[in-house]
Amino acid sequence: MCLLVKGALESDVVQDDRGGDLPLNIAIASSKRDIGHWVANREELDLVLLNDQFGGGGALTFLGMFRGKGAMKKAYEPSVVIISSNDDQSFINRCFSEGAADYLIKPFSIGLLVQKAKALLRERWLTRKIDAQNQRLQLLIAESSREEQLARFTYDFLVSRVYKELPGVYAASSSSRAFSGDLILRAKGPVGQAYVMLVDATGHGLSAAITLLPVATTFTTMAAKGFSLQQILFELNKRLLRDTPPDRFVGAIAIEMDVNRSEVRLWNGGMPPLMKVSKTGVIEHQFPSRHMALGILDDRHFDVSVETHALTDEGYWFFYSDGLTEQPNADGEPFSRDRLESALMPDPEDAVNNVFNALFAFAGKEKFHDDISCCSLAPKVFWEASQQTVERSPTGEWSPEIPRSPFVYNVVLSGPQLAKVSMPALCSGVMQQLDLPNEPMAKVMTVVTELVSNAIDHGVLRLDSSLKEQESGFLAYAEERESRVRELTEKDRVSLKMAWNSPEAPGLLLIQVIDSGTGFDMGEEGDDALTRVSGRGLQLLRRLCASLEIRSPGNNIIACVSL
Amino acid sequence: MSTDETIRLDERFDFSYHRTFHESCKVLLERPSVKKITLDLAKTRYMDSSALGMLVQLKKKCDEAGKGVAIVNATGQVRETLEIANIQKLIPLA
Repeated sequence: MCLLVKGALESDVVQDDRGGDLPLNIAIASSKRDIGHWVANREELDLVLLNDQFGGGGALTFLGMFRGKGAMKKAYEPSVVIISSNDDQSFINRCFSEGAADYLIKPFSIGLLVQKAKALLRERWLTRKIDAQNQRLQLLIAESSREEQLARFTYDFLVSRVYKELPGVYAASSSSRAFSGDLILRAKGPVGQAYVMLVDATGHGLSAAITLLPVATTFTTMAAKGFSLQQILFELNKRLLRDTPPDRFVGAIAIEMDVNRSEVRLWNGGMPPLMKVSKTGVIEHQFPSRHMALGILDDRHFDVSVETHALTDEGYWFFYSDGLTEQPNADGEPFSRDRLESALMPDPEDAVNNVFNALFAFAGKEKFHDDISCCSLAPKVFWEASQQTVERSPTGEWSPEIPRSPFVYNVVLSGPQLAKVSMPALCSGVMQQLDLPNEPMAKVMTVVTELVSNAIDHGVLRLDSSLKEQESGFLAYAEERESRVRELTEKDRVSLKMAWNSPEAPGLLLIQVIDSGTGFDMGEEGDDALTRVSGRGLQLLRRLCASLEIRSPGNNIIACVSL
Repeated sequence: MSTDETIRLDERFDFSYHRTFHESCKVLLERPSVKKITLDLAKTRYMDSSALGMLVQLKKKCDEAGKGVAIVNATGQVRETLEIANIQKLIPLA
């Protein structure tokens, strides 16, 4: 809308209240009252053509009214063009300084007015557009900030769950943005093992950190259950492959320290080499990446082979993310592997501190171009600490991870159910519900599988294991088994009872399997035990169980397992 | 060109797995270019005495065919079960 204040143009110029080529409607103010109305509604106006000689007050009086005060933003004030026969330069300057958009001296060409009006309208349109974009930007920034706060809360919560101090493990990291694409994960297993992972996700910031969240949660859960390093890596790889976009993957160095076997196992997928540093500070061995990063290969091609060293080795392992050696100084020169090696110290904790100090001194700043992490791990320090822990705990004390509350689980299967329903799988479900750690659960499952398969195959189906010794023996055994399964009736039954911490076996898991057969001989191992393909069941059970009782006539076995 | 081939076993290695195991091994045993079969037990969480029997049988067949056999990535209870049966005396455990 263009407001034309009476007298601004000669009456014969304006036709039909239209502005000729001007792309807007025109209203005419012919009295002070009209002007007052439009001042009050000036947000409806785009352009005001103000007659300097109108109303006796002069252009400056009305200009001030249209310019407004306070809340109305410049983008929503009309552009005011003053039309006057006054050519005094100081007056014209004053009009501009008080907010006039333009000034036309009578007489003037109507064509010139139209061009000026068009230019003012275009400027006004652009100003409004920029203002709207700014408002939208402010909203997005505010929204992003809220989302970042929420993400930060979730990220910090999950990361705090996995962060655990471990003896002999020292780490430092610096993120280039609010969220880090590097993460150093530490966890203890239920039976004295410990795990350390340095993971480096593709990209930076929140998008990289999001990729690491499933890594952190899966690592924590599986480590707490005592899964092996290989099983953890398999699961991490599978989840990342399934749950993240194809261009997202995670380089990782994974380490398991196993006190029971006095071993440290190393896996390196897509990360710089681990360095084994002697107690004098000399690099004596390197372990380069032999695998692809997590989240690239499917199960068939993903390799979890580890390098194994003694947990009692002197010295320490040093490992880092590639941001460390790639960090440039002011001249664009990278920190480099040479500088890193020079910064290593005989003591593992000093090494981490000294490397970061050297990096700060080299880069000349504390904010780096990439996420940077480094870690040193002294296996012997961990091993010695674990020996002290063992001495403090009386032998036979239950692991705090094992639930103490007694429970009894019974299941009876008969007829065709014996072939269709997996009793070990049912037991596995119960054990998982009870949060039993991985290692004792694997032991229980081995015992249950052995007892149940013996009860079904030899007790109910009366199959002879010696059949397996023949050429293609397993296939012949399987075919005979399938044939006998088809003849099962409701009289054929197997019952299984699992009782934890019961009065008859306190502190033990009692597993009793009874079958409806006439009893069978599990057979003791003979001289040819090593090379026979069958007959190892009893030996296996005796080694895994605290006690094993076979009740006459051989269809009722009670095994007690110490968890 | 001779090759080493790897069979990756499942989470549960017991008699229910024998057909899959047999078929995987058969293909490699019949291939003259295969000089060594490696069993990767990284994913395996438990095994029973039937599985031990299958390993012994595979060792015998590999010997007959002039092929090597090895077990890798056995950990925890699975490794313990293998060691109880002294499988390492027949097949190298890495």
